[in-house]
Amino acid sequence: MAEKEKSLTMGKLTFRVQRYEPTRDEKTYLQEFVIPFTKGMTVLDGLNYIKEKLDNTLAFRVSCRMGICGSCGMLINNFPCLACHITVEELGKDVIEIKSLPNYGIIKDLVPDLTPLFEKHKSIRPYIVRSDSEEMEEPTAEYTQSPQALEEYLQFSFCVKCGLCLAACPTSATDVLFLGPQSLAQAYRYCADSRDEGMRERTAIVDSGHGVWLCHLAGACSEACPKGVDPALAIQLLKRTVLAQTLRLQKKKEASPIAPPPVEEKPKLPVPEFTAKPS
Amino acid sequence: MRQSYFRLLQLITGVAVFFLIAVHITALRLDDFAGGLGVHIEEPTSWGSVMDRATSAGWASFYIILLAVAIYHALYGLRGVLMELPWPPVIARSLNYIMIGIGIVVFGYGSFIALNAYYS
Ligand code: SF4
Ligand code: FES
Repeated sequence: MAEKEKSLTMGKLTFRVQRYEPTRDEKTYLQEFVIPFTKGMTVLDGLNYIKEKLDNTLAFRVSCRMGICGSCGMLINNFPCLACHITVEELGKDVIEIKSLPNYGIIKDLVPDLTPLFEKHKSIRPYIVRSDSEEMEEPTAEYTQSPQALEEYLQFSFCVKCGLCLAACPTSATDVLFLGPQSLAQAYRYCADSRDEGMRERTAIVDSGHGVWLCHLAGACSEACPKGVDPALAIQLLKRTVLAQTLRLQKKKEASPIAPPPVEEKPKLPVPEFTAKPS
Repeated sequence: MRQSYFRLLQLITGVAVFFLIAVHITALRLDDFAGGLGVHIEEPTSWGSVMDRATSAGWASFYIILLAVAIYHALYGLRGVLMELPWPPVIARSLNYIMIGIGIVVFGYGSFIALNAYYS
């Protein structure tokens, strides 16, 4: 390890970057760039260096640079990662191969076409569904929720829609219509939400030929997820929910009520004499 | 139809196959063990013994049920595996029908033999 770090700190890095320009290239190819190593640099820093100093035609997606927006998903040394989230030291190699995420089309170079991810996400109705459609469309107040009820789905709500899980999923690789770990995990996230009443509609969507039952728990999605969402766990819980509903064992859920209007405000303490009063 | 019904049937047939095969193996191969349990089977693989079973309504129904259950369980599992292969779209679309077709043919042939032996 010490030797590895020494070779990294002393040297240069070789970035083997996938290139593809759909109007010109028939297929993708790798282009090599040699860049200087700096301590603590992320793969995204390397790509930014290439774009600024070596080849400004290189295309990749980026926004927050801190693992929040989920834009910079790429296949880095054959593992789906967020380029801003992984440092060169973590990879421990001075040759780094960067490709566009698998299981998606490519728009250009390292930019995957995430349309299927968003379409599948949309298809499972990823929002609170209420039987009172009027209240749902024109809400008058928020719904109440206890901290315990929040715990039921909190972990699954950390999803940033980066699409790494779908890129890692072997079932998505063989069945393009498979709903995939991201949307299935989100289906469970909303079904487990105490404010939601859309479980029946959602289970009808996921209990289909390309739905939840195609997952055979490879677990690659959970390994790839940079936010600790554990989509594989959510999918297993979703299977249990669907089966319980089929067997009519699902307990009827009382959706959280609308929060009552705020109680009368307590009178504010008088401003002490010695404090500067607002003019 | 919802996939969970088929899935549930797959689980039920899996458990059923386990017990039905256990009866089948005990009757055919573990006659000493069955003897220990108080069920005496004379030479289970001899012609006479096979024909005795084939012409008994209980055994004939048992084998037809085992056949149906095993065919469903095997073909549903096989379909799941095959669905993951990159078939040309026309085959992918027809896979369910192909599986149902194979199931009907195998069940028809197997139960024909069982019924033929029963009425012989
Ligand atoms: S579940 Fe994880 S890997 Fe999948 S899209 Fe959400 S954050 Fe990304
Ligand atoms: S740039 Fe936002 S997650 Fe990497």
